[in-house]
Amino acid sequence: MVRAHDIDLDTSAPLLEVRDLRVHFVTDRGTVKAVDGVSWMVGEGETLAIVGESGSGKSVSAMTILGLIQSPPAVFPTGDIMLRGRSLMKMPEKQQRRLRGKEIAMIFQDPLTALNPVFRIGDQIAEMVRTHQKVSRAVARRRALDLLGEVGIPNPPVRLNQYPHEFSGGMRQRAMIAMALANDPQVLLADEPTTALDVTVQAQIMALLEKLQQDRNTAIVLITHDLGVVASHADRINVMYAGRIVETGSTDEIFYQPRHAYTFGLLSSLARMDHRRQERLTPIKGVPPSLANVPKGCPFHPRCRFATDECVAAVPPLEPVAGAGHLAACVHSDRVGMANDERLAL
Amino acid sequence: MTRAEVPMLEVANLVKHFPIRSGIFIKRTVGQVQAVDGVSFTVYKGQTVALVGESGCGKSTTARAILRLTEPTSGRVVLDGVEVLKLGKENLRRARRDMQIIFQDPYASLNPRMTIRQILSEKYQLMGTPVTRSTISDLLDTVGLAEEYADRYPHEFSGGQRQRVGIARAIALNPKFVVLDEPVSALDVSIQAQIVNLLEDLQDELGLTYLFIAHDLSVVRHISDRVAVMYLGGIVEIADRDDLFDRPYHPYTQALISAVPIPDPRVERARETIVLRGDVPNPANPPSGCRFRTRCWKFEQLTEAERMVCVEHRPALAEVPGGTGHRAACHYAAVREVVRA
Repeated sequence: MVRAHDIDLDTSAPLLEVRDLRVHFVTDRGTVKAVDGVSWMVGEGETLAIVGESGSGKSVSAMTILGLIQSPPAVFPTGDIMLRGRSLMKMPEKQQRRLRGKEIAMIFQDPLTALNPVFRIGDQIAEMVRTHQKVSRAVARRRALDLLGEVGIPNPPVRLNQYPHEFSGGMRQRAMIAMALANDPQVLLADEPTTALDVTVQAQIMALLEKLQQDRNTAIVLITHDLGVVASHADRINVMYAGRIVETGSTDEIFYQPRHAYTFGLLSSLARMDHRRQERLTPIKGVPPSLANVPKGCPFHPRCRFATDECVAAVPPLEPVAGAGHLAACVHSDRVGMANDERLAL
Repeated sequence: MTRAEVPMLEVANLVKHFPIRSGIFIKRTVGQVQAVDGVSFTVYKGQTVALVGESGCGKSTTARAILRLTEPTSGRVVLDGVEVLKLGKENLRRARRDMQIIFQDPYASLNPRMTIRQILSEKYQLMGTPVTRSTISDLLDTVGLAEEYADRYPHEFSGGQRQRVGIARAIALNPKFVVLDEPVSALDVSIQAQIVNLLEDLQDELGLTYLFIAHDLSVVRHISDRVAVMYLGGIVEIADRDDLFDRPYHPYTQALISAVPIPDPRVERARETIVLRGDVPNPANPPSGCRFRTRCWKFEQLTEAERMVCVEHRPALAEVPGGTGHRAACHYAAVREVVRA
C-alpha cells in the first residue's frame, strides 16, 4: 500500500527496529534497569511476541517506543528506535507525535483506563482521526462508525453515542482496537490485549486482530505472559528476563528447541489442558529478581538448575545456537537442549 | 476413580438472588439478579471439585454462599454432616474452623499493618486456640516459608510468598474443607506451578477437600477430580475430569475448552477454535428456556422447530450415556472432541 507521509521514510529499511535500548530509572534505592540492552525488529504482516513475567521489562520497551516513558525519572543511556530507518529518539518531539498513533498505535490491557470515561466512544475515535488527518468532523465521525463495524461491534450507530461504561469488557477492548486502527497504523503494539478478558472473548479478540492483520498487512508486537496465546499467534518470539532478551527465535524453535534454561523452565512448568494428569508440575524455584538488584552474571542463575560458576562470572552474550535467527544467552545451551529432548521424549 | 467415597460437602438447589432496588426515598425491588440459580453438586472427602466458567457465571458467589460469606436465598449445604445453612451465629462461627477460603489476591486479603506472625496468631486467638512458641514457625514451614519471615509485613513479600501466607492462614486451624478462589491467577507463570504443587501436597498430607474456583482450564485439568461448568448462574455440565475434557457434551463446554490456547504451536495449528458470538447476557434478565441459546453455535444449526424447544424449555442437567455421573444441560447434547490428550 502506498501511503502519503509528511515525514519521508525509507521503505527499504526494516519497518520497526529497536537497537540496544536501555531504559533505566534512577531511584534512591539504586538504578532500576528496566530495559538493559534490547534489540529486535519486526516486519510487515509479522507478529513478534515479547514474552516475560512481571518486571521483565516487556511493557517498558513498548511504552518507550510510544514515548510514554517520562524522562526524568527515566534515562536512556543507549539505544535507538527506528521506524523505516528514521530514528524516533533523535526526531523533534513534534515530529514524533505525528508518527505516534498514526504509524504506530498501541492497545492496552485495561481498556477502561485507556478510554476517557466522560467522552462518547464515537467522539474519542473521531478525535483520533482528526488528530492525524485533515478531515471534517462529519468525515471523522463516518470513519468512527465504519471502524466500530469493522471491529465487530453490533449496531454501530447506537454504540457511537455511548460512553465507555455502557460497554462490556470485550466491547471496550474492540472499541480500543478501533481507536488504534483509526489511522491505519503500520505497527500495532498490543500489551496484554486479552489478559483481562474471558477465554471465549479472548478468542474473539485474537481472531479479530489476526483478520485485521491479514487485511492490512500490519506488524503486531504482542506483549504477553500467556504462552498459549503466543503459540497460536506469534511468528517469532523474544523471551525476556530481568530487562534483557535471553532467547529469540521462531515460534517453533522456542517451543520445541529452547536453548536458554529460563525458556526451558517456563515450558516445563506449564500445566497443559491437553495432557492427562502429570504427577507433579515442575516449577522454577525462587522468584524473579528485583530490577534494582539484579544478580551478577546471568540474572537467572540463582533459579537455574544448570547453573555453574561460569554463569556467575559474566553476563552471557546472546549468541546463535542453531537456526539463523535463533539466539540464546545461556552458557549451558547444550545441556538445556539435551534436557529438552528428554522432556519431549516423555 | 472409585465411587466408594464419603461425601464431605453436599450442595443442593443452592440459590442466591440479589435484589435490584430503585427509588430515592422508598426503595422498591424492581428485579432480581439471579447470580446462582439452583446449583447442586457433591464433593467427596479428600477430593477436588472445580467450578469453572467466565466472569459473572456465579462460580464465586456459589462458593461464598456455601461458606455463608453471603447469605444464600435458599438451598441446602451439608458439610461433613452439618447443615451449614441452619447454623445460628455462634455455631456458624465455630463451624468456620472447618471451612476456609484462599483468595485470588493475597495482598488485598492481608492486613498491611500486621506482621505475618500477628496475622496468623489472630486466627488462633479468634478460635480460642493457644499459640505455642513453635506454632507459627511450624505453620510457615508447612507452606515453605522460613521462620525469619514471621516478623515481616505483607509488602515485603512477593506475590507467590503472599499467597503462601494466605494458604498458611487458611490451613492454620486444620480445616476439613477449603475454597480456593482463583489461587494462582494473579501469579507469574513460573510461580504458579510452585503454588499448585504446594496445594496438592497439603491436600495429601492433611486430607483436605477442595472446591477450586477457576477460569484457567489448564490448571483445572491438572488439579481437579471432578469439574462443573457454570453459565449464567447454573451448572451446564458436570463430569469427572478426563471425561469432561475428552468427551464434552454441552456446546458451551466445547466452546470454552476449544477457546483455551494450548502452549504448543503444532497442536494449535491443527486445532479448531469455536468462536462464540457476543457477550454473556445480563443475569438480571436471562434468556428464556436455555440460557446459553443466544450465544450457542449449535442453536444456529438447528431447524426452526428444534430451536423452539431451546427457547421454551429450560434443559435439565441430565445424565449422558455412559453412566459415570456425567451430566449435561442441553436438549441436543452430543459429544464433540475439542482437545486431544
